[in-house]
Amino acid sequence: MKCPSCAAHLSAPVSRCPECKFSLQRLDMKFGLVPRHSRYLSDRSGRLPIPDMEAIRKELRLFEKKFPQILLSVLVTELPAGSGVNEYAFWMANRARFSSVKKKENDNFDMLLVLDVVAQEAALTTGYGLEPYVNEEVLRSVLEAMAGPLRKGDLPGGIHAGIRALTTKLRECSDLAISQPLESADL
Amino acid sequence: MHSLRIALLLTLGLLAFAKSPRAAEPTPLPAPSSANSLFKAQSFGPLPPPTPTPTPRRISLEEEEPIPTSWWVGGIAVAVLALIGILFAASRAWRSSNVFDRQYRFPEGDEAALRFGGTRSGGHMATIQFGPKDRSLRSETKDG
Repeated sequence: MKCPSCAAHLSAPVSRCPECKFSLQRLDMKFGLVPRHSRYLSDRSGRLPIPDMEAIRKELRLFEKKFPQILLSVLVTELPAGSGVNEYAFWMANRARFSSVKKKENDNFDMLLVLDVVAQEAALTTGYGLEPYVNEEVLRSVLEAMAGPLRKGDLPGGIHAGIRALTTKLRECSDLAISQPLESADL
Repeated sequence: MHSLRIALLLTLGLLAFAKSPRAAEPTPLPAPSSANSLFKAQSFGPLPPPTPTPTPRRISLEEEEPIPTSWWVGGIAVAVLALIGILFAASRAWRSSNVFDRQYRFPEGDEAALRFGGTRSGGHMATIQFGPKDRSLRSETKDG
């Protein structure tokens, strides 16, 4: 396992990174109050046109019908300098309430996609419940599917591409998880 | 003797009746006369002429004109367009309702290994930079 901040390799689950002292409590002091957010799509940057936002929300609702356990939330924001999208995604995934149901630990199958339009970075994170079934390669492939439209400046197109790619990958992961017994989690 | 007496009495009675006024001839009835004062011919005016006899309606047994071809073409075109519109609207509703796809689920795993104080997510993530190509593109994977 690695630290979300400094990528230091860790041999066991820790409450705080021994290298950079990374923890959720430090991020609370760094980011402050949780910003306003919606269940499916939140645009703090104001760069998404409203028709595109409606289309993305529609696709996210359809995604939730296909995967009832997973709430995929998309957050488009402008992070201040010195704030990494990975730290922000980890902090929002733990502090924000995208779902009305309080889910935690292995009950939490939610996913969060954070796009920083200033630094032009994107992060895709999962809850504890999905970790045994969706590895980092799957997450990376989804982000790479988004990279093409995002590099062209097509923010809605990139999000749609990411949702479609994630749908395809999660179908495979679900069928694999049902057909094969869960092995020891490789964190 | 007795019978002779009776016959004599009957004869005398008949003779007396013949001579009485009743036996006389009745008075003749007055001659009939027309009731001119009671009946008046055409008191409401002259009679109207008789109504004309209606001529019988003749049922035409000729063949009806066929429906024009242009009507057939137009009707079929409208029906096809309506069907296309209905299918388009229905397909959108079916797609948004996930009618043609199933639901995918994941089994709940063992107790999660909590990390960095996070009770909902442990930092299992991937990141990319989607900036311009002249910048160094790096695909980082951060797995907490």
